[in-house]
Amino acid sequence: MIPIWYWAGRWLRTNLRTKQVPYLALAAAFSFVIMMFNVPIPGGSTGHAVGSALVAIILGPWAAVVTTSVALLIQCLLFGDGGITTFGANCFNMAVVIPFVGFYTYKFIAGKTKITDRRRIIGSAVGAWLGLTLAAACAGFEMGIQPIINVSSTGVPLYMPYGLDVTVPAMVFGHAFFFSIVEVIITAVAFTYIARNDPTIIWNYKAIEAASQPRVTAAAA
Amino acid sequence: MEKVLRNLLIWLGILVALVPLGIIASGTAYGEWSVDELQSLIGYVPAGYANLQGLYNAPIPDYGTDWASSFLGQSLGYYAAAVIGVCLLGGLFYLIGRQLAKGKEDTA
Repeated sequence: MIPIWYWAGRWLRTNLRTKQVPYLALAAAFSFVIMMFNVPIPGGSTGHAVGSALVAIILGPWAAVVTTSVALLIQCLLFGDGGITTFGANCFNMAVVIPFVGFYTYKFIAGKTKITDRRRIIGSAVGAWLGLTLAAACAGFEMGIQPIINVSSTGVPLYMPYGLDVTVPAMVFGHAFFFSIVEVIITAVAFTYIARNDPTIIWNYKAIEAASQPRVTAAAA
Repeated sequence: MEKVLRNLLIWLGILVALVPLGIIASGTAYGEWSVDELQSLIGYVPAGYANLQGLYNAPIPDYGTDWASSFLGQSLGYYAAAVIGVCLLGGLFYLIGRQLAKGKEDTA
């Protein structure tokens, strides 16, 4: 994670605009609060949305790396949630997988449409769902390999006792049908609101605008 | 203040106001079980976790909900945790962001 954080910091230094600063602060606070909404699912487990797909679409995936990582840091240091020993893995899943999968899925679906186009809303929704669900699959994988890589000399698991056949389906099920749906709703609603009311906040707004203009060839111009 | 920023702040305020909804669910997130829960789930505490116990003690464990047993008391603790988290993260990123964005007026 360390090179990723380093690069994300450099990206912010180069790209963050003055106007975006309050939104960056808002994004970090939002990440923290949204993760406090534990949603119960059948079977007695709970989980939550993360909000990093939304931050990635509005402020850029590298900005989401930073805001989500620091929110996770505060969670584990101050509130004993998520864990210190698992901090790197948590950051990889929630602060890297979600933003990048979310943003590039959105970008792929949105294509060269205008910022207010319906395809962008659909893209943000699908990106949010895929981002969180894939992140959950990654977490399930990381847990499931524990009984393979971390066992005592007598073969008893040192940490996670369940294998991949249990952890991956458990994580994917809870997310795909529940938590990712919450992620979809907040992402699509907030994206639509920002895109319709003040798209200049969006980090790559200029590029989106330029790409969505009817093509004027150099010869005609 | 810009209208969009103001409205987003109001939304964040509403989220914070609703935050006690997050403690109604009593289960533990998958894989985040405590050693006691593991004991009852699988009948033993994996040695690696047993060794890690006490490695770090957070100043406000469980988001300030474990000082009270009533829902109201737990909600108050949870509110305090939400406010602390929002102020800390919002403040931190506002200050750092201002430094990073220095001199980069809006060119978007």
